[in-house]
Amino acid sequence: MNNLETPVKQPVELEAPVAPRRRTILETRNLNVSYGEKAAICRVSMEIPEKQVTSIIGPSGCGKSTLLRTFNRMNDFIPSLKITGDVLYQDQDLYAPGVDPVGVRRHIGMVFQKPNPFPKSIYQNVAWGPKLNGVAGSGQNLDELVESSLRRAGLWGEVKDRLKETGLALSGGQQQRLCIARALAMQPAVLLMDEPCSALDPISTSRIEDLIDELKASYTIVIVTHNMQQAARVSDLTAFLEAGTLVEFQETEEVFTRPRERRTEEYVTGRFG
Amino acid sequence: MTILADSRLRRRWAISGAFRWLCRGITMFGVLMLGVLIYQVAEAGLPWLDWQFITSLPSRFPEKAGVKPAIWGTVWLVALTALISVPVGIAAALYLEEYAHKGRISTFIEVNISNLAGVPSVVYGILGLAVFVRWFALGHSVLAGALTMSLLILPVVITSSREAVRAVPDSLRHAALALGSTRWQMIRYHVIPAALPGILTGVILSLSRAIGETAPLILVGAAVYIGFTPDSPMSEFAVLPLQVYEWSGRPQSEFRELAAAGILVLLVVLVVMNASAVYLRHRFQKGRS
Repeated sequence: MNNLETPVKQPVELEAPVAPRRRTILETRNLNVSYGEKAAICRVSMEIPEKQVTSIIGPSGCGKSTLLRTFNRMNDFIPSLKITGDVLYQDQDLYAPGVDPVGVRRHIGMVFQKPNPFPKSIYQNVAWGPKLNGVAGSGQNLDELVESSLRRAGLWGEVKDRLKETGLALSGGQQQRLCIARALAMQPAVLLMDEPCSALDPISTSRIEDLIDELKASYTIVIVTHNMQQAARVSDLTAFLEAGTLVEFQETEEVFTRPRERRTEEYVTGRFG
Repeated sequence: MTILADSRLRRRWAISGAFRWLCRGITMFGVLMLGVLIYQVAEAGLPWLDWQFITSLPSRFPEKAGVKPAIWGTVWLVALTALISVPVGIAAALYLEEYAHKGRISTFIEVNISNLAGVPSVVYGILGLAVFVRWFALGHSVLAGALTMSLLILPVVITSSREAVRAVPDSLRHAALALGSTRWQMIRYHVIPAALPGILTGVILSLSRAIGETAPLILVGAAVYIGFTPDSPMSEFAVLPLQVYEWSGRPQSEFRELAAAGILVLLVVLVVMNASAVYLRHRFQKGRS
């Protein structure tokens, strides 16, 4: 960290400024999203590489969550929403006619801001998705899937003796890990996380951050966070979004130490936002 | 004057205390009225309330008269009404809350449902007579009565079910949808179970109202004097409140005491129904919170 030096300004590029080292799994091309008359996302083009953690940061209301939700079509339920441009998942347009949003969500899982376990047992919380989609059948296969999902979420040791108890009896951090296990049980390729730690205490937060680090070996993770330290700690790439436009998108270290844009610098150094 | 007891503070406490006593008094007034009512009814009716009264048919002779057909008629009527109104009410509530686009049409439907809740019950009786008894040619059957009663309580069932459905947090819906469920799977496995206790409360309150209704049934042609219990939805039937009404209009004082005994039976049926509703609700809520 050489904060004493003034960041070197580089020429402004219009296109997404990063060339990912890995295969791109998610991509937006000239994406525009609006709620009725109000534009939420303006001409965002970005490529999200596979098996990396990409964080999206920016001030409140900048469109972080809206952008995240376009990746698994969770915005579909807002009637006034309009989307133009392309969102590609493994080179297929998620918004092409004939694409089933239910199918999209099986490949691209999501973890929400507030832990939202079902008011059912811990086992059922994890088993519901696979059962619904016929991923694992039932009986032993399902038991194994539940166990492996809970293990991956780092929760197995804490809950293995009380799988039949309600998920709501767990602590906030455990509930969030249960929600992660539930998403993993669908065996998704991508995991979207919408401020997954904002309702948690610091210890639970650091457990989730460790978990994210472990998970990126097998999953692509896109995380929205309003906590810049968190973005710096967990992510490989960072996108800075402001008022619906993508200001900067490149390697996390660069964003926090040598941002290309003045606005990014002002935001990450805490001068606004 | 000290900080610990200044006069302003004392005044605020006095007002606070007075308000509490006011509320308590008003509540007690309601309880007292109910107590007086039950006492009066029990005083007149209790001596007549025995096994013979419950298991006998109506009769010209007060000492032989009973409410067996009326009890069974009421049970049939309430059961059929529940069978009809619960699925229709829940379906309408789910449609309005989960599927319908919020717009002019849904507002129109909403306003109409609220208005229907305020229509006098006699009007439903006239409607039932015209549509179910005559047009559908169901005659003076339990089914015609139950359909009429269903119309009567549906606005309340729908409105309370909608409230219950609306109270299901969106986070639960999002969780289900994000796991790749269809709308129906989300509703079937999460919204309905979470809303069920609330829906049941509305249904039970509505059915409690249906059990005591008399006016629409007079129009639909419920019998006041009948020598048998219903054995099918097409049977003719009598109901408890109508039986009570009929007895209380007779000149002999014994019959007025019989009416009181009938009221007691009606109250017991009501209490049993409400108790089972509370039990059901408790069971559905288990493991949910």
